[in-house]
Amino acid sequence: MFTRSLLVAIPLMLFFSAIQSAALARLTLFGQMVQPVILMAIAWAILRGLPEGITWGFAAGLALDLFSVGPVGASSLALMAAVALAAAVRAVLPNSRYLLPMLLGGVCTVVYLIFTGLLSQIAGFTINWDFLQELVLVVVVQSAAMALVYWPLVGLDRLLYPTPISTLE
Amino acid sequence: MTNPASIRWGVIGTLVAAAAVLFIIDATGNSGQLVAFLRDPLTAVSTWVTPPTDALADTLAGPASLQEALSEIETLRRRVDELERQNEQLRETEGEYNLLLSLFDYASDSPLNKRVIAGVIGRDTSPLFQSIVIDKGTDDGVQVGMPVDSERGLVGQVFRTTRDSAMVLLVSDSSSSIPARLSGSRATGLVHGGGEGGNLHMDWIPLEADVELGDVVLTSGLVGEFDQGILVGRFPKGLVIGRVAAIERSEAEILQRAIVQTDVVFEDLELVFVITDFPKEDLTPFENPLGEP
Repeated sequence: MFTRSLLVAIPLMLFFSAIQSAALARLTLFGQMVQPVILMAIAWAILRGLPEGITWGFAAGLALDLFSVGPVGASSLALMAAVALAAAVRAVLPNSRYLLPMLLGGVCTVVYLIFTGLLSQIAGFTINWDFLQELVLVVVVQSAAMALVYWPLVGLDRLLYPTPISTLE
Repeated sequence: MTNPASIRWGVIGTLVAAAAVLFIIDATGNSGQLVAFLRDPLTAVSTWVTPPTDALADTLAGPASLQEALSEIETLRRRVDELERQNEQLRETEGEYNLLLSLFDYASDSPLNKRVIAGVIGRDTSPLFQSIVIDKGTDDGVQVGMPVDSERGLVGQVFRTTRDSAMVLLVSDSSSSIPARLSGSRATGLVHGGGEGGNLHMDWIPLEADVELGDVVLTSGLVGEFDQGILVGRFPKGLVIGRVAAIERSEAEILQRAIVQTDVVFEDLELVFVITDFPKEDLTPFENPLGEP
């Protein structure tokens, strides 16, 4: 189960991290960068639960760190915390096709950013915490972007884990 | 028999531990080869994607209407006229400067920096950091710590390298710290980045230094690292960082601070120069300022 998920996650995350670095960093919305790689890990946690979410969070974090001056491993740890929150909330709240993924996309991105900032400070980086003043915009942009990211992953989930159809004799 | 739940928790624990180990390895400065191994194949993706994205971003950022475009042309014409006038003045100043240099026989020692042109193929994936990815790496002689500049001023310094790419920490990043000097008063200080949307600021300027608005801020060439046992400057001196845009003085303190405005538009960088070599100044006397034997 994990192997199949990881084999898909690693190339997918590496590819989209390269795209995020090369293309999306310049195309901002309300001054905020859209971060699809983070959203993909969160969406997978919502769809498949904690263990697979953690797997995708690890792969996504590692891929993001390849294109960042931040400490390697910090994004993985921060994303694993964010997907754990997403999986926990998903387990408690009633299922929702649109609202819950979008809400969690925004909120968990904020959790990820704060964790990354804290871990980077521990590693000796200086972080400008002024970005906290724009958290509402981050939530709005990431929630909106989640609508685009979530449904292709629902399709991928069905492709990887097809539901058996029982037939009546 | 192994319980599936315990396998799940085992995998989760292993991944968390792996991320923590990577974090520690990186914090001790030993992650370079792993990063290079994983990122080199992705450089090609970045190289393919960047040009069309730049074109799209330029289009989106361009003037929205004809009226706006005409107004922009008029503004640019005035700016060209002003720059031509400034250029003439600078030529004259340069002539005087060269004369003085020859008088003091400094001309032969004038810095001759070796540069490698690099294309910008990516930006930091985290909004917490200000960095760019360039398409030159160790195969082209680029090494960690090398300064990077552009025709508009200092851009930053190389932070990580792979065989065919490198990450450059921009001067605007909060973690950036560059020894600098003011052109007017010759006072020294440290230029720090302000992070996303923040201004550069020059700290540690002595209160008695006469700082004026518009003063050019240059790299001082001071404070450095050890190169073959000799203390040398990390940046060549005289690279333009920006101009003083505001001054913050507090009589209660013994130092003052200047807000520095750079001409570099970091979001629009497409080509930069990596300074691979420059005449190093021997700062050995600073290792033993009292001259003790």
